Amino acid sequence: MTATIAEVLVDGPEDVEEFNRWAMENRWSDGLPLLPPTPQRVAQFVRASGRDAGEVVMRVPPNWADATVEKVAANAVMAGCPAYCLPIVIAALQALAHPACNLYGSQATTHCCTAMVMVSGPLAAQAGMQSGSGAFGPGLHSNGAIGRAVRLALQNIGGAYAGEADRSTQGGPAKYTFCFAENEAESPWAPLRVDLGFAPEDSTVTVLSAEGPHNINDHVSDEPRGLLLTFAQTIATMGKNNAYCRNSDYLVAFGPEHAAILGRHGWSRRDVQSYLYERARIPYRLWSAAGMIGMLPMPHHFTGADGDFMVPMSDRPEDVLLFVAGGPGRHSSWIPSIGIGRSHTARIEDAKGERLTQLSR
Amino acid sequence: MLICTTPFTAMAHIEAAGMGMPDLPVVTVPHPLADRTAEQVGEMAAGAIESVVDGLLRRPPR
Repeated sequence: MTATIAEVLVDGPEDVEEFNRWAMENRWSDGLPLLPPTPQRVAQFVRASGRDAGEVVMRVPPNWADATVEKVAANAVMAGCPAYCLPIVIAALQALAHPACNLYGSQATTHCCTAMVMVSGPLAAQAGMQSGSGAFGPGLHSNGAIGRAVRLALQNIGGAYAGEADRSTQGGPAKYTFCFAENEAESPWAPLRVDLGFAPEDSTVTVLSAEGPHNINDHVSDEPRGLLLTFAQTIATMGKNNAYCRNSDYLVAFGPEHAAILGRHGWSRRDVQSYLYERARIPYRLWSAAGMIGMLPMPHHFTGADGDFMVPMSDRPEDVLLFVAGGPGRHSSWIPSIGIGRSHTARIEDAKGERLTQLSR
Repeated sequence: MLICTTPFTAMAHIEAAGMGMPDLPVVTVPHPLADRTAEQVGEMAAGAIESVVDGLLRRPPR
């Protein structure tokens, strides 16, 4: 039986600074200022979700506690997340609970991964999200607060506190928040959600236990081959879990100017996926010398490889997920993953499981 | 029964409780494990074996 907030209601300080000291002592914080989750604020957020307060959204490892709508709402209030964004926070948490994501592993691992959330579709703009310049933050948009709400819910409901159950060796700035919207307006390809089989009218969340974005700077290439060589050389690195964990996927976020080069030359998403699958590779003689060699089962077709065998960063071209994010400038990024968990994309739905088309602003 | 290196002890108890096994015996060995020689790992195992047996038999720790 999950306790409601009314049953566990505690009297906290009204003063914001006092509240924040108190929240730190009670371990509800990520170290940055929080807004007090008063019953009135939490109730308002629950209403905005269109769901029952006691509905269990998912269970959060490692303590496998029920994430009720009310508990998620309390964390969203503390994160400074707008109430109308709660359906996105809930959808992200539900997606993270998909077994393919291995949230259990990512909550407790020594790796630096965090819960990355990408929103694709019409609800992103309604939520006041940024898909253009500075989409990874910071900025005057809701990206950061939505991502922080997800992270606080995972930490506080799941008990994944840094240095305790969250065993991340160094932590990482992306663990505060890592959330952005897809820039489909400037994409030469269909939005990622459509490529994955969702309708254009759907809005989706794509979640991944991911490192923060790694920059890819190419200021000189005006044709795909040179440009993508820069991408491949940035991605093929031995310190990434994707180099050793088979059956993993990773994300590549093209800045619009880089994407436009590919579009101008008629390169489809499949073309780019095939190129990166073929060219983002590490020579076996290096790959087999260090990194995570010997820790995981090696595919049969690797055995007996000579030193020149090129080890791919993903097992299949379709495990390289491409989309456009950001604004003007010749920068892109790739987003490595935990490796032992995959991305998952899910539709943002209402309480009845129907497509959500309107946030309650 | 769960065996881990010392920094993971708190996590082990949290996970065990979360999975409905708050009394699951937890045996800890020194950290780190990754850079030990096979001989050193053998010594660590020898040092922990009595606790492992206790845990498996659910006897109070010695």
